[in-house]
Amino acid sequence: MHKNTSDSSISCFLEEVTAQISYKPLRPSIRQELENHIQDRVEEYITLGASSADAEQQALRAMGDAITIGTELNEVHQLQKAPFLSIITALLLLTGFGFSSFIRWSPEQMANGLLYYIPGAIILIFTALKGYPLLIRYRKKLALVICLLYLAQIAIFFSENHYFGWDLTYRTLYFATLLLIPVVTIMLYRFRNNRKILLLTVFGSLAVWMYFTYFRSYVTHTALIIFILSILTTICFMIHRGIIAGAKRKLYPALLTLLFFLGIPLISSDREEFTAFINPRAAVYSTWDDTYNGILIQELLSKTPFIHGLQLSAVEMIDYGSGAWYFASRDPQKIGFNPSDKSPEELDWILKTMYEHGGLPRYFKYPLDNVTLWDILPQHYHNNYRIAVPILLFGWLAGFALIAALGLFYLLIFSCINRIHGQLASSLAFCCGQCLLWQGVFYVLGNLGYQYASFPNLPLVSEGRLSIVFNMLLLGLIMSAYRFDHIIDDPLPLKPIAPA
Amino acid sequence: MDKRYMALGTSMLVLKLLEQQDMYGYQIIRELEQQSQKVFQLQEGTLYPILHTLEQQKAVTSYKQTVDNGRVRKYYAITPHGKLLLTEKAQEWNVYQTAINQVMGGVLFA
Repeated sequence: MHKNTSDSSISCFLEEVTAQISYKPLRPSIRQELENHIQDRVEEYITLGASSADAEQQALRAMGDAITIGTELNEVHQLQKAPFLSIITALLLLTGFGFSSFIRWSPEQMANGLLYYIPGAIILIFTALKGYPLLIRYRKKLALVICLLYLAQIAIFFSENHYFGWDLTYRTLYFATLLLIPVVTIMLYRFRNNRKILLLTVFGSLAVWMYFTYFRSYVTHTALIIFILSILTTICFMIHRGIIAGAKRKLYPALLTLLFFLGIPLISSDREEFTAFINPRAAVYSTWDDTYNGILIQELLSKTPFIHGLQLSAVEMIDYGSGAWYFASRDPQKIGFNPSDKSPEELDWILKTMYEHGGLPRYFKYPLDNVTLWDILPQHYHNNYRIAVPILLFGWLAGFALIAALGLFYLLIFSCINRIHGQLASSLAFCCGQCLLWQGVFYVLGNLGYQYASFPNLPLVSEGRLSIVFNMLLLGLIMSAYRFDHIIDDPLPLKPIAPA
Repeated sequence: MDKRYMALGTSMLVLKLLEQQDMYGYQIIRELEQQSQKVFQLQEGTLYPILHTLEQQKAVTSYKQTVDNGRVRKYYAITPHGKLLLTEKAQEWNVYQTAINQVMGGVLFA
């Protein structure tokens, strides 16, 4: 057999072909494929009686020009760029940073924003440039590490040893649940051809899901519903693209049945949250309820004109701020709390706490002639109502512009995903896109007064902390899968040779 | 021949061969030579950009197989989308072929 030394003409030919391929990690697989071809041809010429050197020369002549082959292969395997998506991502990040820094401006607030936005931007750039190749290489280890981290976090909840504080642990669990979406997608892809393991994975997940939703409430329902919607739509996508093979007539009804069973716990285990989402007015008890925020924002938005901000008299503002507009005619006892019931110390402490948390009603601190719109906005408006607040301040036109920018962002994301051909790359990008999309959908619904469970985050724009870091990771994965689509093949299955 | 029709013809022939069975690059070249009685003799290296393009268009898919001599071969298989593409390419080719025949027939037999 021909021995391929590093200085042989075959080696020089292969070097010349692969030197034209700009993405270096792709070179070995192309080199191997061409080398096998040449060796097959050389063996054939030798069988026909040619000497080894002649066979080699004839095989190389038959191959054609190395530079032309390499250039044509390089054209096929170009890195893809998404300039419009990058631009709108940068604009939305700036909008979010602007909100975080200036809506309640202080040097600490700005520094706090930078603390998350700068690492978030770095994570986005790094993941977009390197994420998908690294994920392909270390996907099994990464999936294992994320699952172990998730279990460790649940263990922290069981032990009730919240070293880092309950709030941080709660938030990380929220985003860890969302980060499981790509992990489950990789598992679905891995076992898509093995029906037994696939079914085991689905029913295993179903059992865990039932357990969590019925008996444990430490994972917020918002994260769970985003998780389940993202996974189910991703399975639909995989069936639609033929990644999960089978009769669609059977697969889609099976999926609908699964959705039905998964939806039952969400509706039955916490009926109040579901009622508050569908009909907030039926579930509100006091101005301290999150549900009241929804009712108040619905009322204020309904009074906001199209081209300029909401204008209210001081009396109207006090009426809205106190909740009297809604509760006084129903049950005067349910108007938040009555300051006359509290001692001066208690009142000071409550007001201080409310101020620190951006809570309401802050109108207690203002005389009637000094009350402004900011004093009557719902609790946590600076994080949760970043679409509703611009509408109240500048009119519906500004709100539509913001919603249109968001719509454009999602449109660009899904148009990129639609152009991804790789099976794993497209599935992974789609599930990450769904995760970003459902967060946005629930956030916009919340801003229109329909809040489901706890308030979600608007990717890139709201709650510029862990949300930025986690969502940058998801967005970076989408960009990376798109960028490397023409370069990195799906992991190729190695088929055994069928017995003769 | 027009470059576009050259490319159309080659990718159509490759898809047609893969419709019969899964093949690796060298095997495709051999089959092409044999079935066309050595009329189609490509510069062999130019087959790979065509195969990789078809793979990106989801017309073919690939897998690896280790053969007796320890060599790992990359096999290509036609997909349902590829079969659809083959039908379209064949129709396009028929239009081109009919047009050529009509013109040539006109010149020859006018």
